[in-house]
Amino acid sequence: MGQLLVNGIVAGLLLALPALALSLTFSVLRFANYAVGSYLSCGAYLVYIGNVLLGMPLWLAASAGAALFAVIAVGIDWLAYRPLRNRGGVTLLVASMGVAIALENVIRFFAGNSPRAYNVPVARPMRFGDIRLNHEQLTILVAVIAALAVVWIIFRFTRLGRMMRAVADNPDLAAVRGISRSRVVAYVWLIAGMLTTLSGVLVGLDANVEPQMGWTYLLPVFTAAILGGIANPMAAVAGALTLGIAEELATLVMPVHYRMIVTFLVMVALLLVRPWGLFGTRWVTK
Amino acid sequence: MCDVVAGYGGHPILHGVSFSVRAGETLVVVGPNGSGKSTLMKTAVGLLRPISGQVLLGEANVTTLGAPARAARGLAYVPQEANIFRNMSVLENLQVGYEFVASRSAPSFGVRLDAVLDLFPEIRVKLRSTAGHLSGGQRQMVAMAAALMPEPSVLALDEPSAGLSPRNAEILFEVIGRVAASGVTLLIVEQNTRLGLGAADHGVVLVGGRIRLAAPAAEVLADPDIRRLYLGGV
Repeated sequence: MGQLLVNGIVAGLLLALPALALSLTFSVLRFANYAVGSYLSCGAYLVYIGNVLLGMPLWLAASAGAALFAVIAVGIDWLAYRPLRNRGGVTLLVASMGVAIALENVIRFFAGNSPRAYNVPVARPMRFGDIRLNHEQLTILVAVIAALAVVWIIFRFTRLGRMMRAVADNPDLAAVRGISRSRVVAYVWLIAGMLTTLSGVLVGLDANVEPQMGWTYLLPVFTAAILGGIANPMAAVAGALTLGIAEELATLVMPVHYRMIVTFLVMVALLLVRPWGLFGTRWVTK
Repeated sequence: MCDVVAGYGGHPILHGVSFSVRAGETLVVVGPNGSGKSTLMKTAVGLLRPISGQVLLGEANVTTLGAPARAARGLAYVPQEANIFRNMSVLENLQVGYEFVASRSAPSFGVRLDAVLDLFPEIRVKLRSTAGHLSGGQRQMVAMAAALMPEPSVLALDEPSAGLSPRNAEILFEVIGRVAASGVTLLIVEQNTRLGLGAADHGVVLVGGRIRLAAPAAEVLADPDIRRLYLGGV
């Protein structure tokens, strides 16, 4: 049970960063970025280039990859989303599907379909009583908690955080208070690009780097974000943890390879009963 | 505003509206529902780009500038609804009101905070409260306070008394009077004509997107036709 809980927390933390990125872009741009999974894959491959092909240590490759993909995410916004900004959330959602397909095919074109692995030393798992924790899990725990802490501090205590929260809360009022929405949008894509790259690295560490890796996480990431309340970025983290733990605990009563059913069930139940999420507020359209 | 035509989706709601507010004066725009008052206000503050015509702020033509750039030039705005950041604390609302607009030479945040809280002592004890949890009257005060934080030269208020009790509306207009006395130019859209025109130097009656009358506020209030036809016979 303790082991399942730890595994669930790690699985939840793996979902937390892309769910946070999805929720962050949704709260400011009011559209669900279907390409979040492909962002994760792209980031993972950029880091693979740095780590394996250029021989950088993983932390350096991850930092460089995150910075590079953050800029690419802003570029994608300029090319694909910005011209459609006033067309509504559904149009942007469809555009993001196109972006997702394009990115995945770019990856396949340059890197092929074979799974790849980062160049990291193999180490024995650590034991804490009955609980086993491998180095990848420890890296995920530390990296995600550190990233979440940085994002939370930015959100709560910085001028940039107030800008983002203001635009998410009330874009017109933010504009008349002197906040440029286009600047905030650029910052949001920068942060989302970094978060998805970091999550891509961690997923790659946990399993493999492959073109499909983002697709595998798409449904759980959306479910986690909706579970928290998709317009409430930090609540998406709670949603991710809840979902990760629920998936792991479900293996007590069903085979491991069926655990994706839990995600489906949670998603269906939420959409039927509480579509604004556990921590979100009800949306009212006038 | 000079000969402004503005509306939504290419359909004009304002048809060639022209008026001006002198520095330090208060102008109130009144008119029946659907007359284009909110469209006028959105055009004035930069949330809506006019189809034609010009918007001037002082000597500068700001027609093509968006709301953030106009705010940086000293134009503050309090919308009728959704005029606070509901998920932020009152203090954060005031901080956001100040930090993205105030010039480098402006008084410090602390100085402005004290000055604004002197105008709205009721919110001093609510600084840590979530703004969305306040009463309607308190929210209106927070919205006004936030708009005043950067020491604007022009303050635009859209229906400031909407949703307030008569007593709260009177209190708010007392504060508006004090703001006006401090030299801030005020452009107010108001449905409570007696209260609005009572606090104004000049009045504009807007009907069907056109200016029906522009005159000193006392004259507008005294005009029997205007009172009977458009102002509910106040």
